[in-house]
Amino acid sequence: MITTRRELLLLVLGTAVAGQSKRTVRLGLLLPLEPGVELGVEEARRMAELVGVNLDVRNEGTGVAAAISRHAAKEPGSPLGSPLLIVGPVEEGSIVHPRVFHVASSPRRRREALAAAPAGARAVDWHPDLARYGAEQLNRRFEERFDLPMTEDAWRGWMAVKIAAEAALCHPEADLAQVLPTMRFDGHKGAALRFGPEDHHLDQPVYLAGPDGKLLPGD
Amino acid sequence: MRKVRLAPLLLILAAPAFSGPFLYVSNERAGTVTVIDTATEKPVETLRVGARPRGIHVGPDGKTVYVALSDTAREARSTADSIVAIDAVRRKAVARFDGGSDPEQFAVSRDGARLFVANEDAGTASVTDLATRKVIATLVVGIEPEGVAISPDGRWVYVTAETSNTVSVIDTRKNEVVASFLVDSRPRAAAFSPDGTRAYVTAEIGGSLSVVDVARHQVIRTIDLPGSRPVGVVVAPDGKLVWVANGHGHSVAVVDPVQGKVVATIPVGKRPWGIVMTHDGRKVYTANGVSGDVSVIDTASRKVVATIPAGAGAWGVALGR
Repeated sequence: MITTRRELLLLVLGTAVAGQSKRTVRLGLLLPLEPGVELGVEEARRMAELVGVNLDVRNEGTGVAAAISRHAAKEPGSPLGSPLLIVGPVEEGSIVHPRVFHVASSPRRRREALAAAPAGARAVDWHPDLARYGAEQLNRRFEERFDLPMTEDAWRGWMAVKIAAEAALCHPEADLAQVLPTMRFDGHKGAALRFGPEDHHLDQPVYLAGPDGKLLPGD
Repeated sequence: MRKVRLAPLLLILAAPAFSGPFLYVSNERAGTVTVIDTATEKPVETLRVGARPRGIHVGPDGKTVYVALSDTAREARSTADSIVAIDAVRRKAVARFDGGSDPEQFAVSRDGARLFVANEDAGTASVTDLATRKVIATLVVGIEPEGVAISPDGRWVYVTAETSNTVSVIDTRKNEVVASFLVDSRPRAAAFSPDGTRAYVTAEIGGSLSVVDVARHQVIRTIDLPGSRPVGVVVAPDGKLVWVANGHGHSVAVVDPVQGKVVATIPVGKRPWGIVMTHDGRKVYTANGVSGDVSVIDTASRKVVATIPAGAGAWGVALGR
């Protein structure tokens, strides 16, 4: 498994802390301070607050993330305490660790999308010009918040926090590595997104961008 | 000679006796409302309302049709954002109300005095007083609020929110959010049972229908609707079956909430969104956005018995008295 600096890592602790009248759910993150992640955390806090849960979010930064990921890749049998959500893709055919999940589309999915694409096109998991299936609302919300277009990296960061928060809030007592493969997520793509049982990548629609970065017709 | 004199008289008597109730269809791309006579299942008039009409309801006295308007392409709050009132008899817009930013779905209070409006981009619900035409309360609800439903006794308003997967409960006596609960992924619409004990919430991405105990505002069951994309929802007058428009599934699912399963799937037009049932429970109408028409389902045979042309982007349906 190859990790790059651009890959974002998310460590989900998801531990319910008993003893207070307001239930507390803890989310441990290993993520850079990136706008997509920031919006995800803000929305996760709001979602938790709505349903009377105190969401204890701790972002420990990216320092140890790559090391944990490399360790998991070398030793798929290693006992990772918490499931890992890796934002970036890994190479096709890499070893799948039972507790590691990838928010990016799989390399195979991207390869298939590019097979019929015009020369110079790039497969992307998100684009700031997407409009259907509520994409316009998400793109507008991001841009109004940060005055930036929502890039593929930003979407992946936002999606990673959304997945972690939904899993932790809906299944506070469960082992999230067991729960994640059973859940369906909404990424504003018009399809139910799930983790592939074999490659652990989030199965999702991908889009094509031309050499100029513009979204190609089709979506 | 006598026959010749009688014929026109009979025609005049027959025509008004069989008209109505009327069905009102909002067409979000055409910017119009199609008026359909349910006696003949034919459109009788198209009203231009402009902007992007989506949510549509008839007031409790049957005299006024309310339509939510917002802008088609927008960066911020638009001047098009409003709720327009159409006189059901004259078929003319007679008033315009402030419904907050980007109004989409809404409900009319049982006394016809207020509107409860979801403001999608603001993450709020607005309470509009129809006498003063002003917003009297703005309540924080979930992220990207969408569906709005009011309980039969008028006490509770449920507002679904697509991104936070939540339902916020407004107590209409206080105009406050008194509870919120989680449902399945991307909740789009809600409907109460006629006795007010249950509410049903569709989840488009979850592909399910959540059954809510209204006394406790808690989900008691989530019914999987295999292969579906549930959006609009309506409960039969006897409360026994729940009819769900399947949007991109291009069908209507008939759900038995006690058995917890789909008992029939009826193919309709392309992308049904809004769904309404006649007061006698005999017919269901769906507004089909991609095919721009309305499907009429006979509930006894569970078959589409007519398809009525509407406008581009047919979105919501409301039935008059």
